[in-house]
Amino acid sequence: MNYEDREMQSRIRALVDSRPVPAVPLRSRESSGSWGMVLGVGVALALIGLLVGTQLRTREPATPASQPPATPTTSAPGAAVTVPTERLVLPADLTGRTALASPDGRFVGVMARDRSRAVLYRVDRNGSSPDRPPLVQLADVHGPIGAMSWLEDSSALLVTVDTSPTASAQGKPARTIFRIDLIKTDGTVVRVPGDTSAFSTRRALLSPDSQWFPVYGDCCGSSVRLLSRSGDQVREVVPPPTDGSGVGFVGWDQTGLLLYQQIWPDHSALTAVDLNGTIKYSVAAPQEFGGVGWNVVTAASDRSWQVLAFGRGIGSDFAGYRLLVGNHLRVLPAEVEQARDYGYFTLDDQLLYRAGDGSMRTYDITAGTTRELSLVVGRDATTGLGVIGALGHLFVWTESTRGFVGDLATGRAVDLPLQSPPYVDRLDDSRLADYLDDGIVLFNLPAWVR
Amino acid sequence: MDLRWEQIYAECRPPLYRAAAFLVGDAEGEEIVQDAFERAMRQKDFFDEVAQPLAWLRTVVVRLAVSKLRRRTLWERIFPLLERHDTMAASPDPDLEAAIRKLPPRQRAAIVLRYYFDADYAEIASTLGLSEASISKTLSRARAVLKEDLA
Repeated sequence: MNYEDREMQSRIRALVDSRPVPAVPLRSRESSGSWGMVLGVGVALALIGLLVGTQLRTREPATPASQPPATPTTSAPGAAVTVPTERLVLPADLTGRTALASPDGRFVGVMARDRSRAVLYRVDRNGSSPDRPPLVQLADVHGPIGAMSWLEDSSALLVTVDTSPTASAQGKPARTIFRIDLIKTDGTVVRVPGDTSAFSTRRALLSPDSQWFPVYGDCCGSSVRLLSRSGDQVREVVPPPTDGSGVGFVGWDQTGLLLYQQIWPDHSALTAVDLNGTIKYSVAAPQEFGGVGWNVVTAASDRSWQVLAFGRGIGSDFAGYRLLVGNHLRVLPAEVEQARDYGYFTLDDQLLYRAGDGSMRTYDITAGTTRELSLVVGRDATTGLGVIGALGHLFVWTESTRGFVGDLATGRAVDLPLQSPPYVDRLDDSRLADYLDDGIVLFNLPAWVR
Repeated sequence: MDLRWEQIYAECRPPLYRAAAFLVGDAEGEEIVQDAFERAMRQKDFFDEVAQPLAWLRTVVVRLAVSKLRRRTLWERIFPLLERHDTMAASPDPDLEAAIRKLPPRQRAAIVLRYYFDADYAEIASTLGLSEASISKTLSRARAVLKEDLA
């Protein structure tokens, strides 16, 4: 841009940014993809789920007796069980809808309804009410709050705080500016220096040495930066490109290298770098995919293989899936590729998927063989099937507005009284969190399924 | 609902709303932003397929805004007095705002994409459904009009 252009840009940015942004909540309550990919009739199901979830919403925990009989369309019909849950009741000005429980289930981060503050609580399990443990406030941060995310080892809650100037001054930056506060589970708060950054992940993926995790330079990422787990160092591993391409964090590889994507209009690549930004290898996306984005869907525990989804970013053109093994891309077998609508998961370091007949199967990446498991999920479901995901050997899904959990090894499946399926989140291999408007319900699944 | 929607909404809404409201006004700007998020949420596997949510949402917002502007332009030709002046009184740069409002919808959108969102020619072309060469011409014309109006 020449001088006149820059002056014009400065005036236009100031003009556009001068418009106040009213606090309007997200209107739609539909569900979309995540690790707990919602499937089947999608929009309609999610809306129905929301309506029912709303009707069921109460300050009292739901009792199994209030649920209609379980009838999962599996090979093993549901059985009556007692569901041990922990109900966390929130103060009236906070909402569970935007809350996040820590991966180990010991802490919860909760936002105010008006996003004016974020609070970190410890779940006090030493009391006399095991099904209703009280919350102990450890620390809070005042907003406006943008988003929250947990370090995957549950040691700190990351909170983005909107620090955008509100005055309509000339030259004000066009994008919203966030800072990150780290609320550690010992109650201390670390304010990250500089204007880094917003992030859009619910789990911050720690580097293999557990010292760094990715953050972004602005709303959706124009460079690849890492923040130290202590919150006091920001490291730019990949600077913003100058050739018009875009870059963004993708994940980590088996050897501890950082994987980032770089997207041009007609092609894209995945590049592995060390923490100093030195390039170690690069993998091109299939040429026919064009300029696609790379996303890790699921992976082996040691990242020896990772399933990648490719998307074209603009519009709905979906390119496909590939398997990343080492630094090579592999095509998935046709049967596995066809199962994409129901998501891919990991079971005992094998790829887990739902076949077209409802059977759950695994694909052994090393041997190249598939195996049918005992559990059948939604074989006759005609009212909409939604997959929440795998928790170790358990698999959780919804049919219409009903939740179910099944054991992949035995095929046994039982009713799971989820109150708001669109807001259900996996914490670890044993816990689910059901985020309600006024509280959070934690399910400890293996304790009652097995 | 996937919690990432709440997060992306919190992070991306301000610039999207400001741009939409600037292009079509506050009320319709709000409608456009909500519409864009609804479209995104209707897309199965959005987070798997879309690498850059802001870019995706920006495209939808600007396309919807251009569509509304075109319809409104027709009405404004018929009823010039219906043109909105309500927000201009409080504008920090009323001359520039008035000059931009005079631009045809595509030029207006191209200006916002280029100068507010820092979009390159390829992205503007993709968003507006034009060739990169015509984007260069569109922006040149828009700049010339603004320069003349602001002289």
